[in-house]
Amino acid sequence: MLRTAYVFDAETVAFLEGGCALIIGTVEPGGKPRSARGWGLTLLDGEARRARLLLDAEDDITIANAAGGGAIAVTAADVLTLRSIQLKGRSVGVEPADDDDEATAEAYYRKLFTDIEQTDGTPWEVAMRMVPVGYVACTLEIEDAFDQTPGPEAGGRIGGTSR
Amino acid sequence: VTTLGEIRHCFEGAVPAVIATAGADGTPNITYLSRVLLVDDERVALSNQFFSKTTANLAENPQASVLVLDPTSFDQYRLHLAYERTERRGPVFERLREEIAAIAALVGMSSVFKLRSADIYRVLELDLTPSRANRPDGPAPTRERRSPVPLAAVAEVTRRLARAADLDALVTTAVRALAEVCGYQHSLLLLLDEEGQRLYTVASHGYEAEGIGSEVQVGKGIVGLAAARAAPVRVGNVRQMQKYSRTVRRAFEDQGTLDPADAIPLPGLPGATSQVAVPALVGGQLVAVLLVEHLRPVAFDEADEHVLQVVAAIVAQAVEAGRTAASDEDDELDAVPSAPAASPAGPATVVRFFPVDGSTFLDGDYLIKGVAGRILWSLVRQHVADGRVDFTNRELRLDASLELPPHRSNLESRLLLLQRRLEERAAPVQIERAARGRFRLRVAAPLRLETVDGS
Repeated sequence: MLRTAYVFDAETVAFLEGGCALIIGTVEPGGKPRSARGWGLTLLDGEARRARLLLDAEDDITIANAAGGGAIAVTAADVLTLRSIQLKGRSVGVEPADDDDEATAEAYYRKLFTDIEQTDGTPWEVAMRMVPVGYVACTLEIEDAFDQTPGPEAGGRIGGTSR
Repeated sequence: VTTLGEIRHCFEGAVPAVIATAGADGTPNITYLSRVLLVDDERVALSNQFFSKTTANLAENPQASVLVLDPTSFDQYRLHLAYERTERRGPVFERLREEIAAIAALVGMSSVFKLRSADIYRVLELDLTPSRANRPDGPAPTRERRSPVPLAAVAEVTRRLARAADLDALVTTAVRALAEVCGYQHSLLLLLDEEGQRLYTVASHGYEAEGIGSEVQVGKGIVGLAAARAAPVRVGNVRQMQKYSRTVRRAFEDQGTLDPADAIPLPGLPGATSQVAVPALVGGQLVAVLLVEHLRPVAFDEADEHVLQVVAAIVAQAVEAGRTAASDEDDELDAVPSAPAASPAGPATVVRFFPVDGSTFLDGDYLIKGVAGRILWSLVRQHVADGRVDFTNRELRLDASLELPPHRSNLESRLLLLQRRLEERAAPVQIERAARGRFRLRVAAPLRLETVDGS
């Protein structure tokens, strides 16, 4: 089946890749939902049909949920403004993180923790306690995107054109 | 981790929680929660006003996965929840409703934020994530909690308040003793106005500017909410709440649902994260509100509320008793004409008065409005007319131009407010208390009076 693909404008791409707080929802085979945090997101091609999402390498259940075509929801939220976008799609595979992924993750949490310190006053070194010991990279095929910014319009479909 | 009670600080709302749900077709949804409330050792309650997809998923698949963070250590916990029931009344619903009301009051959105229900979930699993064994750094930072205020400290504050001879000494003693004896370094005391619509600051401690005369509308902000509900309001995540509610507010403004001018600036400590506002009541009637603030998240708990309620009750009793005594004594005092004071030299100070609301400006700078503004205008008019400087409370009480309500004049507190505001501004006109029921005007510059008719 040909799925709807999403094309984001440059500003949205910058938003998604720019150190927004990433939270992830996956589902176990019996329908049990699982929440987790993401550690970096990169849109892989010009039309942004696919994204590379970094998961906590220690979180075996989320990784298992993502493997083999599992459904994934990712919400990216700007800590400063709470502007949020939720991507929904399916995993097309997971693999060990490489050096580029490590660099992506570090840039991600540096930006995120700086924003948190600026807005909420949480010292950088305290937020660092959340950082995982390692990462697994999941390739996500994006099927839908929604405005998740808190308010009456939350949940509205956004961004992109089908092809 | 064995119990929810051990991680209760995660439920103070200082850091937004995360909730994952899944529809019947296995599609997950992930979003932030405005509030997770600890119900008991096995249950939590969830609230969110904009929860459409999550609600739909839960109707199909009544389980959820929630991430919560300890605001001090950033220890993160994952809770697996099973939906039990929905409550639309009762103590859990009321607690959540208070929280939502506090968020709404911060940015004047009480008409928008309404809690429809509290959903109760049983916690089936509770895990620290990432596990402590694999944590990349050392142990968690120690939690710098304030020490509980001992009963002896409350007694000492009570003794000091009991020695206060008048309203001026009372309000000063209240905020000073809270700092010196109880460790509440930033506090505001606001009195209710004659109409019961607004609260105005008469004393503060720990701020760069005293903020005397700053006003809060009943129902708006943490202070206004405590006044409207005649109940304490405690928040440990002010900045988070402000950020969340401002974002929601922007969305409603974009829709044209709300007027942007409704936003209410918070008084007090810049960057304050924790606040407790406690009403001061006498005979079930609101007299004042006491506010304490702290920069650290979740700095106060229920014990602080209790301490402040005791102090607020004593202050309220004393304020009310002082008003009654002042009124009785005033009745026995007649105006004492004084010899005209020597005219001061130098450039004139322009006193501009707006009769429409009593707003008074000195050399173009706003000073005060309402009853306090009218009092000043009455005094300076008499001073300019005949050089008079000595006055009594009684003659003010009988002065129709002040538009004092007959049933509840608050004259003493309005006079105190004016006195303090003039001191704060180092104005060329000062009020000095003489004997009880009498005061003197100190005028250090020639005065030029201007009335601006607002019609």
